[in-house]
Amino acid sequence: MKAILSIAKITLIEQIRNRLYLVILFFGATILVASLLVGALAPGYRVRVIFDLGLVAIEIFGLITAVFGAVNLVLQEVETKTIYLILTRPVNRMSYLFGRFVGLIVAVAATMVFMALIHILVIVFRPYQFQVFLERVDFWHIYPLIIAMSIGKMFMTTAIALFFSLFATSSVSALIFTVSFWVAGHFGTELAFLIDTSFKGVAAILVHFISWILPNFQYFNFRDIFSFPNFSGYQYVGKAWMYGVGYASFFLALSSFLFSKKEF
Amino acid sequence: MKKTTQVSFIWLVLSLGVIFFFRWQVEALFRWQYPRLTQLVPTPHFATDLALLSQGSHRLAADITYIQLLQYYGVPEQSHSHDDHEHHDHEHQNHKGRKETTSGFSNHLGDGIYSQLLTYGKRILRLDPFFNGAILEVAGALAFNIQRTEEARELLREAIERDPTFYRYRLYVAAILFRQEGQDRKLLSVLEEAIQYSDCPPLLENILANLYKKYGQFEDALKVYGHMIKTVQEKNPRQDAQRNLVALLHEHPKLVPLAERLLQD
Amino acid sequence: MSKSDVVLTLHHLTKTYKRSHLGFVKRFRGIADVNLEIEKGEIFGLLGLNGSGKTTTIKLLLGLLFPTEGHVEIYGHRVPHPFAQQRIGYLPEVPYFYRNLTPVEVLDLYGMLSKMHPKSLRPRIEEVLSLVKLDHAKKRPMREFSKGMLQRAGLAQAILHDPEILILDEPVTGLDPLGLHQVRKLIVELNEQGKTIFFSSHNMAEVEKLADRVGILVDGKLVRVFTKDNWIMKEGLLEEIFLQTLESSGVSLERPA
Repeated sequence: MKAILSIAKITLIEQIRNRLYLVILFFGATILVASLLVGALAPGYRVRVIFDLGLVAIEIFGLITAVFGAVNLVLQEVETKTIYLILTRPVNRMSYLFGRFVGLIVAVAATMVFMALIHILVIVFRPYQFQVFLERVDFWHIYPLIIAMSIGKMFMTTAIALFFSLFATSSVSALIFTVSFWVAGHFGTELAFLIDTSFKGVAAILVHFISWILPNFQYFNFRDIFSFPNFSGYQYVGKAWMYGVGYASFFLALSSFLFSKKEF
Repeated sequence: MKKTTQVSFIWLVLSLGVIFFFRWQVEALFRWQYPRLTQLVPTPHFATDLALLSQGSHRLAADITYIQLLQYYGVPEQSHSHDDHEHHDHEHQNHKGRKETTSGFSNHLGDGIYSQLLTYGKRILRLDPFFNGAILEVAGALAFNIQRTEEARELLREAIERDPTFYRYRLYVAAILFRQEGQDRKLLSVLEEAIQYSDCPPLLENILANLYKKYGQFEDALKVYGHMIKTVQEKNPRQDAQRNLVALLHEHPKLVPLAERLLQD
Repeated sequence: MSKSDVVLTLHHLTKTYKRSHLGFVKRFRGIADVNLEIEKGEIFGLLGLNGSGKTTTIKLLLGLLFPTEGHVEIYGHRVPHPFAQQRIGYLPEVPYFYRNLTPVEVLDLYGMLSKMHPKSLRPRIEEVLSLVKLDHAKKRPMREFSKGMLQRAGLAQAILHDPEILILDEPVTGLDPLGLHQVRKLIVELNEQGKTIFFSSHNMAEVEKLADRVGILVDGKLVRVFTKDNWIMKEGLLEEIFLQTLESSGVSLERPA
């Protein structure tokens, strides 16, 4: 446990001091403030546009931080050989991987929370429009939940990216695989519909079973589904998070297996 | 080494178990209510829509479509001599051959044919069926501004199908029907209900104000203009409301104290 | 050599690299059937040409590579084993560190990973940084370090947890004469404290001065192991022995034109 926490702490410090991380944070904050201009293009729905655009921006920048961080996490250590001085110590390879993962996730979550705080400031910048928006949206309850669920998505995506960084031959191919999973994860409901229309009976069950290997990020898309009438997301938040933890754990197990076989 | 492989294998199997169990649990509670991808409206902006949907941004895709709609609808398609300082009442014959007056709105929206307006409306509806306010605006523009009531009803019909809980769609259907039938009194009561909600489009408030004036309810018309001045964010309808209020006060000076009280609050 | 004196054993150690390209698999020998025992308190030097298998041997000792055949034992435990890893200090040929961290942060991490007690860790970090003359730079990020400073930081992390065995891969490569002297002095001091030193090198002069025993690797095979009695009588004799060994193993001493 101590080893995991030590490695996690160092990973977090490394991320925060990395210039790329700061650039991403800066651009994210800029986009959020610039969303005020975009909002001005939709009078009557200014706050809605700022709200939606901001949430998407927070997720995109969280994704960039997570994917670039995860893909380079181990690859860069191997290339720069900093990993030698870790693995020659009495540290379990699994603990090392887990520690790196935890550190990165904390860095990603910190990015998203920081951007969320800026986003809130931008949203409440125009008090009257915000009051009107509050009539339609239970903002103070739903917003933290949306951010928490977006972080859940990043949790899963980081684990996927880490696996592909160990599996693929280069960081570019790892990036491509991860983004493909990200996109596929948002079409989970479409896929389910296609399976139901194309297959029947046992075949449908089997194909559904296989399709469940792909993540379903729509469960975590509270920023899009909270406006459903009779929104029932609150009921399954805990279960969705457990699904996310199980999914991340699956890819961490695969990563751990691959990493245990890796030679340096 | 063997022990590590065993541990990884057990961990994998347990994780799979957790995935399948909790996914099954969540599936029982999760209900997807956005339209299928195959139902998206094919437009030159389809790639943008798909790109946004590929990372689960239905609401943002609808917002961007709404902005595009405003840019489309905000540009006059036909040259039109238009006096900005008063609203126009246009006389025409309705389908039953009766003469009726419709309001022309000097907010510069609707100066043209706008053949794609319904397409925009459907695009918003199929990206985000719960962007009710925007759909109402499009339906209202189609019905009351451009006089294409059939298209408005087509849009509202689909909107009701996709979001049957939003009963104001039915309110608008009623408003369109009453207007077509020339049943202004019934239309008035429907609009009185509609403007209670903050997402009611300004053009409907304008119609209501004109109806009040038609029936001599000048104080009520004044209240509507006062409400528009205080709440409408779009510049043109707000300026129109100011001009109409000034015009009304010129015609009925005894309403000035009421106007002062309304605007002070 | 009694069994209790032996700390490090290489037992029929073989490493074959496989490279596959378009379905064809090529095999390259790293090292083949290396047998060696290192005693406690010994300084053992591993000599060989470039590509002879020195780094492969060291990586196999550390568990960074897995043997194709045979195994390595440290204090009776097969590598990799936490018991063994805790007693090893490793200095790579070119030490790489986290660029954005300071030496204190890096050593703190390595100390925690080596299971040092937090209370004793901080004073030990100060002590070690002072020993390698890096106390003036302890708060600077490692990306600002010169090559010599990085080498000294490498030494610092190798001795931080007071290991019993030090494995040094080309410890004097790239050092200036002063640095060379300091490293040599440190190695001798550590050996006097009872530490076992296993190092690889090209630098014949340093091996002559430091090693108690020398092994020569030729083409992945440990062809000769001998003690310092063989060269102690005459300076430069080690180089002669090395070249003779190469020749008798079939290596041409003439460089291609």
